[in-house]
Amino acid sequence: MKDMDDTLNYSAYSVEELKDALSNVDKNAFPDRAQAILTELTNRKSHEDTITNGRKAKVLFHGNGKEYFSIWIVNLLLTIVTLGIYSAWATVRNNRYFYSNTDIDGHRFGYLAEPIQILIGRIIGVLLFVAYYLASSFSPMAAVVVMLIIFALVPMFVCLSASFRMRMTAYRNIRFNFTKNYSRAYIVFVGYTLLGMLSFGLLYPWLLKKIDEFMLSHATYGDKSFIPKLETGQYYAAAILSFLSALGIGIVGGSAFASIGFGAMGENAEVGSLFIVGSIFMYAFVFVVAGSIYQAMIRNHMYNNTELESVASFSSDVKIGGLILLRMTNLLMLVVSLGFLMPWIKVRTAQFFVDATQLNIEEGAEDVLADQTQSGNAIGEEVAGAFDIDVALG
Amino acid sequence: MQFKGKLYSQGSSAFADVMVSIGNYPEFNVLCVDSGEIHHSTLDNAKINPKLGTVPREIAIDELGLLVVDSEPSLDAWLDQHQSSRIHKYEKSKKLVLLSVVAVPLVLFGLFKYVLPATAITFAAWVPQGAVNIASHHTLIALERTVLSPTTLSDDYQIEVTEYWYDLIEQLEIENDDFYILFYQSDVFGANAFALPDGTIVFTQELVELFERDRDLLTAVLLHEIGHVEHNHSMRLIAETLITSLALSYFFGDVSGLFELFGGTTTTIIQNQYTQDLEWEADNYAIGQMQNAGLQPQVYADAMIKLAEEYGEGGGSLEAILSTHPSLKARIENAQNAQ
Repeated sequence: MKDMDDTLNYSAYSVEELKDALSNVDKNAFPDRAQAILTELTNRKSHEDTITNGRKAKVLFHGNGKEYFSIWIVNLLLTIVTLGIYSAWATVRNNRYFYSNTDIDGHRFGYLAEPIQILIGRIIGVLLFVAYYLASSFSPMAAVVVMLIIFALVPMFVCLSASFRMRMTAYRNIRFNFTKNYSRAYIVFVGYTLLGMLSFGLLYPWLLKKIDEFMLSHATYGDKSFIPKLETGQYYAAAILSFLSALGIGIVGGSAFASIGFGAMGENAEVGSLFIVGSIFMYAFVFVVAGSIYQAMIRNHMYNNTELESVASFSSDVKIGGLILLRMTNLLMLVVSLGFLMPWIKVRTAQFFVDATQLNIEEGAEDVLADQTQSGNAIGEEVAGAFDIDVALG
Repeated sequence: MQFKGKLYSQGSSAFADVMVSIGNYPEFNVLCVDSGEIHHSTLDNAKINPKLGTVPREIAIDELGLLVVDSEPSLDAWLDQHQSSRIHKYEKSKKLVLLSVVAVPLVLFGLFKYVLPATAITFAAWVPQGAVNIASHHTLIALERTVLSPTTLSDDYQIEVTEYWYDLIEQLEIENDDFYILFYQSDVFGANAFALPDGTIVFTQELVELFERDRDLLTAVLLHEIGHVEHNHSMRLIAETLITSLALSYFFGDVSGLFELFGGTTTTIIQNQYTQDLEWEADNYAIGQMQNAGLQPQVYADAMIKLAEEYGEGGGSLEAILSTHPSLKARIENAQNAQ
């Protein structure tokens, strides 16, 4: 009997039972048994750690500029010769290229949209734009009315559009989704936006945080939700830093530039032209630097503080300097090549963000179930509902 | 033939590593590596995503799940033997890629240079007179509330010069001679004149003073503004701006982010070329009408010279792209050459 007890198997015990057993066991009479319980408890603890810590997943991008160039240019030609109608089909090809070449943990993303759905959304977008543009051209008063109507519809369009984009994205045969919470959308996009305006912009960083929080917290992957824990302070830090950098560059660059430029400007028209080119580059530089600071800081903050419940946590380490360099070289490539290097620009940008992204996969990743809206395979299914549209121009 | 792949189950994120062996089309077997299970399946009730670049092939099979297999020539050939993807062939074709590289800029140039303005002219002709009147009326009200103030030019002067102009307009061969001439003071516009599409023509007091009330010089400007109205330029510009913005967002819409910065500049540059075209048309209309008004084309040049003295004559190559008006230097030369 004693021998049997020594080899007693504790693996069937729960952690609570083990703790109970440890306090009840007579440590002097059965030192081996106490030791066995302790060992089991330690094992459990480290096992628990591996569950909560998960494992790091590789994030990869497999696309390349040369391959994408031929896809891009042929689709662009087709779009132009069909006067834009083919653009819906082109968008599907282009998006699929980037989704299907993005790989997390050995699994590719899937892009599910059908061109016809995109085409319908675009037709609605064009009609709204034409209505607004004509109204504003013919009567400034009518423009105000149309503007108000569009403003009132924005929260609805935001929900529809986010829902479309998420539902058209799949990973491991499970679709993403977006809970269309219209009442919350109206509070954020109308209520908070008005507050932001009344505060003369002082509340804008807070507003931006509320918008990001709204978009993230209503996103789902199968039956799992994204849980963001964003901090208002980070948004203020990012906004203030990018504002100060723009101001700094504006003052230093602008005054140096003006003292050289203005003197020569009156004398020679070509120097005047040079001055204009310089101003455009200054403007681009300010735009890139301020934008990159905000984007890098906020992206990192959002990724580092968002979890997909029991499936994954994310982290992002976009370097501000790296992002500025990327954007500036992209701009240069675009201008020098008159747009023809666009495919390489898109590919290297995707690569940059993929490289800055890490994922921590938790055990629940295998057990995500499709939500009620998905009945079969993510790809094969007919997903177009009457309101499955993405109202957009481009 | 066997291919390595993954089988994603239907309704959950679980997956299994599999070996796919293809046999007599459309039948194939899927062997789950871990469990040893074998599924016999067929492409008959499957949806195959069309081939795109070298991304893995996705085959959605009812009841079984989503099969993802790396793209390989032999597998692609087998999968696509009955539903080949034409677009992928186009994207792979070196000839078509080369053709696109040449054709895209050419077609774009043709569209923006010829097709778009022609469409805009057609649109301008279709706009009902009622809409034109409302547009003009509302624009004038908005301007009066913001940048235009009442003129301090004497009534006598205004009556004298407008009577002369109304008589002149009747003599000229103008289809629709329903013009209405007004004077305003405006710090924002400075020495300037503009026409509303219904035939309302506004002179700023500053222009009258810059020209030292010289009636002939002012008449040159009047004829230019009449040219804008006669050629329906306001409506044309509305259509051109509208179609340009739509075309740009359609052709380059998916080029987002960075393009926002450039999209605006591009639209502005293209639109400025259009407005410059309109200015040339109005200039040449005015120069053509000068003789009918009993004036030499040189008077038109003189009016431009006066403006150049006030504003500088421009002429930098970049200014030419970034400005809504042609350089005054070029416009003066154009009028002088017309003699």
